[in-house]
Amino acid sequence: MAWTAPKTWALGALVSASDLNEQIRDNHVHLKLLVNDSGKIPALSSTYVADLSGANLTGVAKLASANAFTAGVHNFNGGTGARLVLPVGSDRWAT
Amino acid sequence: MSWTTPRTWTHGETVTPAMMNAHIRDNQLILKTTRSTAGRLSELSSTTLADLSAANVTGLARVASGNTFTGTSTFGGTSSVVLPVGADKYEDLGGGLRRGFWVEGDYLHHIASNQTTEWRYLGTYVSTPAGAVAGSVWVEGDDVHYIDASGLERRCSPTSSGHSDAAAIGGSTWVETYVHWIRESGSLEKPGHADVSHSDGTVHYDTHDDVAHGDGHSDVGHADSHADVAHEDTHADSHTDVHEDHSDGMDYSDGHADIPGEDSHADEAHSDTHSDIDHEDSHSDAHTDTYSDHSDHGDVLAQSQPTVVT
Repeated sequence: MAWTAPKTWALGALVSASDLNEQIRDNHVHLKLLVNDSGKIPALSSTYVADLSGANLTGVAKLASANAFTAGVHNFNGGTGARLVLPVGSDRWAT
Repeated sequence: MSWTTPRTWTHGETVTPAMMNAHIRDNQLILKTTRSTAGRLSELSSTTLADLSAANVTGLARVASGNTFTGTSTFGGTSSVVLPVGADKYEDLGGGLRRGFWVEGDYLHHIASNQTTEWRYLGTYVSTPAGAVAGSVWVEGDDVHYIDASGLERRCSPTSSGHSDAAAIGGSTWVETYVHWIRESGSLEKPGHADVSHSDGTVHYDTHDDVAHGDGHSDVGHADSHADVAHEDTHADSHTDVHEDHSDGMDYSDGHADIPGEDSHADEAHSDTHSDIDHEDSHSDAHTDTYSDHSDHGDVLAQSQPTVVT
């Protein structure tokens, strides 16, 4: 259901059924896409988020920037399919 | 623009434009704030989220807590990895079980797959790169490189007995008994230690040749000489024989006296001389032992051979 820009209501205008269906019903249906019946966003997935980049999030490891792990065990052997690929190439030390 | 608590509409009331604008238009614009025209959340930013903390988001790595990665984690591009640096930087699982991969002093340590045995590699010194972070680790060519606790770059060379898996990704690293990895390019596995097959029973021969030689000697000439001192052997014998003459009717008397005599002689001085012939006691024994020992088996280079840490 497409979004319709809310109209500016004017004095003396007749509010038609079409107006209410478009402006209230349809736009509310559109807004309902993001949330469940309790009004909560079900998941951070492509169904609900157009851009899933975590670049602006805090406190998590980022794929495209530096990450400084300050605590905890980072276990790369948590499952039989787990693998760790180290940097490959000349002089790949951190600076 | 701010959210207006929606009103309860009643039958017959006069709906004013202000009501409609406040409760319908403006509230809908508020609701639209976070959404794209397709109805999805536009982005994860301060425009759409008041609190950007991902504390409640699942499936992300956290910098201040443990993370269990169950898939393949690739540190590609220009990324770097820094291992824990320090003494015994392993995870203690309890019951004597441990696991970990870390840098301690000059060494690269790991816990074997039995979760009990701690091994360490002493990598060969490579360089002292300015600004390098201790604990950095990467795969370069056939080798695993790391920056030790003092900032020195070291490398561990593998054996060449790994196998090739076309699907393997260069840089993949894991622990078996030893550390294994996939070389920088290609898909060849590089075990951190493997004995190369060998035979200690190779026949060998010890041969030698004695060079003929002569034993000759020459005594230094010398003279043995002595001088006998002249002397005289003298003696004097004297005796008197007394007897009584038998009586034949006429007495007579035989008397004699031995005159003492002298036996004298003189030894003549003389010299005994002799000369030994010169000779040399010299000889030259020379021989050559040639042999060919068996070849020792080829374990990996010393710098790459891990040792157990007790």
